[in-house]
Amino acid sequence: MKRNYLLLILIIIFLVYLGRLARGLNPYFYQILVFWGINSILAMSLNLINGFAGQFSIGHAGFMAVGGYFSSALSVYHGERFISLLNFLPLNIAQIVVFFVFLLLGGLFSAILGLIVGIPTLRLKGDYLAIATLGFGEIVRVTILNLDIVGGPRGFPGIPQRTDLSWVIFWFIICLLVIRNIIFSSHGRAIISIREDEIASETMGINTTFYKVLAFIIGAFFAGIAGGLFAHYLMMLHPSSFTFFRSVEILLMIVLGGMGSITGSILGAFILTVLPEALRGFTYLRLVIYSIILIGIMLLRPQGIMGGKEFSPLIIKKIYARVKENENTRSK
Amino acid sequence: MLSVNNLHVYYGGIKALQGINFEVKEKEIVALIGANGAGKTTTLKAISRLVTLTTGDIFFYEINLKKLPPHKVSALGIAHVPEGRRVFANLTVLENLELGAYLCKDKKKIKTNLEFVFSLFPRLRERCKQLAGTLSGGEQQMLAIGRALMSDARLLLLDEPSMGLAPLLVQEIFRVLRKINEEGKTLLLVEQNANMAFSISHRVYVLETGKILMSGPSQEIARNEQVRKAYLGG
Repeated sequence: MKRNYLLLILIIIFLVYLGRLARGLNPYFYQILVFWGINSILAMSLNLINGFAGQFSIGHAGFMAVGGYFSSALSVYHGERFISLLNFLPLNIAQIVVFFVFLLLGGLFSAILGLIVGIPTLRLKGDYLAIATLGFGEIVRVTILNLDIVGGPRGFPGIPQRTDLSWVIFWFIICLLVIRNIIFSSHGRAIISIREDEIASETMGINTTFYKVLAFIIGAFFAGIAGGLFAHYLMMLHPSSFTFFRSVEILLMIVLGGMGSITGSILGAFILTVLPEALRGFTYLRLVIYSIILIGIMLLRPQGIMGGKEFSPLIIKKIYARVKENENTRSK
Repeated sequence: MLSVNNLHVYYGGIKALQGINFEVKEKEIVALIGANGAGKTTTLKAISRLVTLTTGDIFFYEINLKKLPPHKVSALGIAHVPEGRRVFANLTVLENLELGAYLCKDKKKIKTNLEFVFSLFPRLRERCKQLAGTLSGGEQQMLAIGRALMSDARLLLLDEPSMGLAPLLVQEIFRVLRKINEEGKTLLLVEQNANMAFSISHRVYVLETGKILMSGPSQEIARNEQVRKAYLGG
């Protein structure tokens, strides 16, 4: 058990180091990698709500905006002060610590909002919940549009650039581990059973309200983190980045990748990040081809590319075991 | 064990239950029979708190279920096998059964309960790894009952276990229900199949439009002229 944790920490350190090495990469590719990572975090967190708990939410851009704006406002107005407070540390380490705390606060603020929004709206089901969460997303956007302290409609410039690929990889792994571990625990079973049949899961003794709100809060937390990473990468935020279309884009990733599949979310995020870039050569036909490809994938695999299944590196082990078993039975 | 006092349930303006009283004693099989819309399912749902009571009380031993949320009711040892089975279609048979034992933290007990379920329904053991949604209707019903048994409940609420099943399977299900009862579980059964309900139960309550029309030992009620006409086909 302890060895596993040690191995895990080593892998995280290695991957984060890999992120540093990637700085030598073409900046264009580097940016695509960063957006893939951020989109993966968004997709995985939405998948917990939509794919696993079966609660159809399309307000994810709202949570992303809340986390992004909150951590950015902290960075802009209090960043220097907190960094100078930590003057006993070297400057770059102080920056890392402060950024980490601000990101965390952004995520937590978003999670608290998730709790406040979740408790009343999660009584609703299906389309009604979708409309309520859609409304939430719009409320967030319009509120920001009218908040002068974060620039309102002019946008919010001057955010220090703190995010790099290492940060994205770090949070990507944390998000992956947290959601994976929830899903494969008894809590995860409870969450999945709500998707399968809410009444039956209630009669099993599962506190469905609790688990729905829990999924919502965790989803909102990671969306907030992703928003913070996004803001500290672009160095500028604008309410128009967080419209309804942003939520739909995240939703598309999980539908395309497969509802209820973590690896599917990552794959979906990859396709929806890379595809528009890969099609740049088609200039004005770009969005047409993009749409046609999406329609094609959905027609061929309506359940999503992964279709609720996971791809795990352990599968190689499993196949190996099966081959060996076959050999054994044959030799008998 | 369970006593229902003056239970009223209204769905908006529709009065589904208009003051019913009944009780279930330990280790009994009690059947609720009645036509469609008589309020049988509503009664079960009221007990497991899936619907809100308008007025009235439901006592399980000394505890009033009136104010409890559904998951607290199951924690007291009442398992509901809902109408139409409602198995978790995209989970395997084993995962379904494990979810049934969600409240049970004692691993040893889960194991003995699992063996008990498999001994009742050997078919489920064969299909352990299969997705529940791919089972036949009868097997799904077995799974729904098995899942309820996994929670180690003392009282089982069964909502139309014979619905949509072939006659042979219905007999199989009822044979198992009797066996479960012999193991010391109390059953409250809602049935359309009145013949089956009479043959298995100790006592019967006949419901009609939200009221209890008649009650008594099964054999007695089965001989009643009115009941024969209405439910047993003459």
